[in-house]
Amino acid sequence: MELCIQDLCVNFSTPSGTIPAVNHVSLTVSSQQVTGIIGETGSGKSVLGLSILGLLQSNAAVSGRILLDGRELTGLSQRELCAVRGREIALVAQNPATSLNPGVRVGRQIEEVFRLAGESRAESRKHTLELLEQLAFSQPERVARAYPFELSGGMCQRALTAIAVAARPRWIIADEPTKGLDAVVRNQVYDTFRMVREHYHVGFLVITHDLLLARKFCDRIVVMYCGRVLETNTARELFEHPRHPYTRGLIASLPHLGMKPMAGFAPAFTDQPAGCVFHPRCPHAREICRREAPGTVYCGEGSVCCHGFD
Amino acid sequence: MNQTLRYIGKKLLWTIPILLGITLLAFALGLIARGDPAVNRASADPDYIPTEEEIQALREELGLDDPVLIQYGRWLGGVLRGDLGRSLIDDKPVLDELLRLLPNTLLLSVLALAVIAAAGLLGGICLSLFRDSFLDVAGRVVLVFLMSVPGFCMAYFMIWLFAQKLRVLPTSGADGPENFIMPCLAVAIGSACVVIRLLRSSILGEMGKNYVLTAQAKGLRRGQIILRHVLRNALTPSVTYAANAFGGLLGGSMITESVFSIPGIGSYALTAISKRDYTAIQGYVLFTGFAFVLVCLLADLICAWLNPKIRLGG
Repeated sequence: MELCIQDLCVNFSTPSGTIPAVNHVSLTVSSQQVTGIIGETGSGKSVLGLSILGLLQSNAAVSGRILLDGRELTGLSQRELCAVRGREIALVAQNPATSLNPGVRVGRQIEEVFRLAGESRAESRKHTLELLEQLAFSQPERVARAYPFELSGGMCQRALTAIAVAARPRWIIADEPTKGLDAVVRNQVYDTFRMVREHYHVGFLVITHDLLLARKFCDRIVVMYCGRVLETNTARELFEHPRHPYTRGLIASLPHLGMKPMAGFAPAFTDQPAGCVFHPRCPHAREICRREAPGTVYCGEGSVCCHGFD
Repeated sequence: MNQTLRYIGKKLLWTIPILLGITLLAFALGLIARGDPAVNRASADPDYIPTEEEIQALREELGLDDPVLIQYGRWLGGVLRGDLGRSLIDDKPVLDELLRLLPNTLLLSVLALAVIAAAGLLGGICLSLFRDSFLDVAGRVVLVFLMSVPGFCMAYFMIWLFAQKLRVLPTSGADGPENFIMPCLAVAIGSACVVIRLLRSSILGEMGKNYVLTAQAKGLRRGQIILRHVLRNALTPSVTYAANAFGGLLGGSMITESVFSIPGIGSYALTAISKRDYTAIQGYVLFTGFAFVLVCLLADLICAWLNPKIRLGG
């Protein structure tokens, strides 16, 4: 099963100008592998994830194609997209505490997915409790009766995962699943995803800036910066032999590798540099980097978008 | 469950000092107001000029020379026994009069509340569903217009249209349900428009929250998301506003009741005020105050039911 993104561009029109959040991105993701999209905040990863589900705000202009097993999602009507969402591609949204409805019991929010799939109330109740138990809740009934604000961040995260898994989708897009969680809970997220992956055989697209999670959980990594894909590779290759200077900078900034922060800041979307978008921060920038945008070079199982590899 | 009961209990306890405060205010109103009730009562018959002795006798009979606190105690004791005193003008028991007129006012208020709630829900949901479309933009303009028309203008316009031109509705009286259609609309339209706008903006505010994204990702359609997820979180301001409007209506809509000649609590109060009938005014203030507090209590409980954080978060 394949999710294929071809030349995707997402532009937000705002009063202060057009914001190109995703810029000519082409990617093919297989459900055989767990794919991670990494990059700093504001690199367009979340927008990319939401555009697959057609869940961007109304001021977003999307061009390019997104194909799910050859079926084009970009041309579907809202009604048709509703049938894809949840059942074929599910989302684990970021900020678990606010991504659950504060006024509805957690159990009801999970049951709703089973109900949408056509199950009776009794069946959906039963399946909800089973699912909660499977997701390592020791008291499923108590959790089902609780409201989101009565649960911890990690529990909310697992409840969100339960909502995503409930309709047995073929794909799960997890948007910043470890954001704002402490180290122990981040490990729980990893364990949960591992279990879901093994038990339900879903394709995972993990959008994260948590490099440790990406390295542990993902088979394949996509590095994004300023709405562009700068490098792709298998997780092992990428972390052992990073090619793009940006990837090298990201990895060097990891705590156990010296925590060397990268110089400079990501440019504003409304004011992007000419040539290679990374050149103002790149230690190896040459004259050509300032003038021309580099093309994507494929080598081995990966690709890189840098003049240093022409 | 225990926390919910504790919340309700706390709310109920809080109403006691508020109700006591209302009795104090209602009583003080009678003291502050100018004019001597004994003089007024004695000169009820315009052809007869009372003597000073007659007025003094009446003053003693009414207990107007006693210390204020004793007057208040006597009055409060009466209130607790269900005795709001007798009208200074026609000597009828105030409570009996209020109860006699209550059904008309109650019917008018409940009908108006039903109109406010139905129009508010329907309008608010529709406008937010069709946000920024022609329906939404035009609808909001019409709402502002209707909101700014005073109730009695609406009343006269409706009388002209439905009673004089179309001749489908009666102009006055309280004999049958058809008598209540126009008054009910006259008092409800303004508040209904406010609720529509209020609900629309709070629904749209909620639509931007993260949990809506989760609901969308489940595959729910926009209408389902509004009804099942957003509405209960968006209702609180509208419930509070509608409760305020309903509480006000229970006190009788003086103008509307007099335009349509409906014998209700509002017209009773109007007469009492113009004749300086202090016992009646006190009774009226007390009654509307109590009604208002109870309606607000009910609104608080509804909001707590809608929003578990209120009842569980303490």
